[in-house]
Amino acid sequence: MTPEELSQVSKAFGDALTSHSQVGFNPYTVVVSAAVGAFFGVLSSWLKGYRDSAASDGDILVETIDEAADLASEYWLAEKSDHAHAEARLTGLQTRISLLAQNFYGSVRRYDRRVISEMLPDLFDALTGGEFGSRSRSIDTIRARRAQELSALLAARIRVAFSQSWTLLSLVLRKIGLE
Amino acid sequence: MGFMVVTLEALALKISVSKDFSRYPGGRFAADGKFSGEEFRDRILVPALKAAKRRSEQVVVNLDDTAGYASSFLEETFGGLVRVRGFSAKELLGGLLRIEAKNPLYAAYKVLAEKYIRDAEPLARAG
Repeated sequence: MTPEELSQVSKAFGDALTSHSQVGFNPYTVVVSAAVGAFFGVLSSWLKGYRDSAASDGDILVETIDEAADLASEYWLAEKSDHAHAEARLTGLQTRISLLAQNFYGSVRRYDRRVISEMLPDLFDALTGGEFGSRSRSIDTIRARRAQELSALLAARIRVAFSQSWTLLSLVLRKIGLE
Repeated sequence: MGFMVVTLEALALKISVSKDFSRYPGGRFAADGKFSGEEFRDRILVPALKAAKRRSEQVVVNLDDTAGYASSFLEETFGGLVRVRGFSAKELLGGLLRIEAKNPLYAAYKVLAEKYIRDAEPLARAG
């Protein structure tokens, strides 16, 4: 490009800027911009609320799993005695875990739902399987350790499921049914 | 000439744990207290399975609406069919027995019951 051509392009650009500034603000542009801004503001605030609520569901689920695993470890490591209270609590905690998991499934990907739901039966087996409820039961250290191991794995999987389900791509795919 | 459609559903013998046994299933053995897995298996499930086998029907066990299960109850009930009562996992899971959980809250128990049937070994073979 020659210096003359460059000078002409520069002048044309300057003229364009001057003419645009003479037009001033278009009220429709202002209204549309404000509406778009407000829409995205509301959307991001709704998404944040939804995400916080899902995170809280996940936290409560993990806490309940931990509570059940701790109680089960105590139960399996204690000498046999009257454990009716612990037994009632453990079966109750299983029901609570099932309920909370159902609630949590609504906010994660279908794949994660499947993985978590496949891990729950193994946890339940560790919590209340074996000689659970038997008056002649003996100390079961393997089951006590297994309850801790499975609860840790499940808690980690729940955290991973949550973080992977809340990427923008995952959200969009879930909303249009292509997750 | 008309055709009669006979579905497996029509030939099923249905058992609901909560309605036909207890809303509060107990532990493994009858000696440990009421509503045990052993009691459910021997008093309700085995007679139903034997009748269903004679008539080429299916037994459907519904797990819904109880206050939850101890896994030991499920193992003694369903694993015990193979381990103690001489049924084979193949015939049970091949159509003689269907375990259902219409309420998703009981889905984990259904998976567990089927797993116990698959994993159980007859006492003689288990030694």
